[in-house]
Amino acid sequence: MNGKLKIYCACLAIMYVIFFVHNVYEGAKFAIAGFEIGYTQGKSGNDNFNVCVSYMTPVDGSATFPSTVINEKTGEEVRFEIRQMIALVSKSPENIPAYVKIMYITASIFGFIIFALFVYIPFIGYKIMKSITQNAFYSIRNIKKIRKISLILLLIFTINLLVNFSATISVNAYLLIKGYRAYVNDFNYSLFFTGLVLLILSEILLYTKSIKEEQDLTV
Amino acid sequence: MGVIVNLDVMMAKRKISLNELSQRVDITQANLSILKTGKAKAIRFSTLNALCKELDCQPGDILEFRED
Repeated sequence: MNGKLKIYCACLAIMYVIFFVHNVYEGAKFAIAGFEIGYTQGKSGNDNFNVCVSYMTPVDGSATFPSTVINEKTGEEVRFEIRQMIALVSKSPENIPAYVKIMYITASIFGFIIFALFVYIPFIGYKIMKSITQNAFYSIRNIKKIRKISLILLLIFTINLLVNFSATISVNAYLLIKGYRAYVNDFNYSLFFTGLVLLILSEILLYTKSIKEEQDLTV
Repeated sequence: MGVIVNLDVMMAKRKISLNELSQRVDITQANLSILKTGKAKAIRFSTLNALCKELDCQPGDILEFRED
C-alpha cells in the first residue's frame, strides 16, 4: 500500500475512533443524567415532566445580557447571558398536541438509527481499504461503497435536521420564556459537505474507471 | 460491425504463432490476444508500426471497416 495512503488511513481511523468514543461518552453521560432525573421524578410521583435542551436567543437582538455575575478574577460585576439551557419542566401544559409527543418519540428513535449508521460506516471504509491493499481500487464495488457512505452521511444530516426540528417544536410546546426564543440548532455542515464531496468523488471515480478500462484495452 | 481486426488472418498467411509474434514485436501475449480476438478498444501507432513491420503488410491488411 502507498505510504501516504497508509498515514491518511491511520489518521482517519484514529480521528473516527476519538469522534465516536467522545460522542458515545457524552451521550452516555446525558442518558444517565436523564435516567436519574426520570427516576427521581417518577419516585416523587410526578410523571408529567419534560427535560428541554435548547439554545435560547433573545427576540430583541443578538444579546441582551439580562443578568450579572461577579468575575472572580477581577472582582468586576459582569453582565452575562446563557445561550444554552437544560430545563426541567415539572408541569406540562395541558394543551400539548399529540403530534408533538409523536415527534418527540420519533426523534428518540432516530437517535438510535444515527448511532447504528455511524457504526456501519467504518465497516464499509475497512472493506475499501482492504481492496486498496489488494490493488483492486478501481472496481464498481468500491465506487458503490463510496456512494453508499456519502448517501449515509447525507441521510444522517437529514435525520439530524428532522430531529432538531422536532426538538425545537417540542421545546416550544413545553416552554415559553419572555423575550427569548428557544431553538435546537445543530445544522451539521460538515456532514453535509463530506457527504456531497464523497458523492462527487464517486462519480469522478466512475469516470476514471471507464478511462482505466479503455487504457487497459489499448494495445 | 465497425472496425474489425484481421490479425489472425495475417498471422495465418505468414505462418507465425502468437508466441513468436509477441516476442518479435515486444508485446505481451495477453495484449496481443486482446487485439487478435477483437476485444481491444484502441491500438497505438507504435504497435501498428511494429506489427506491419514484422508481418510485412499495410495497416489496412490488419484493420478493416465493415458496415453493419
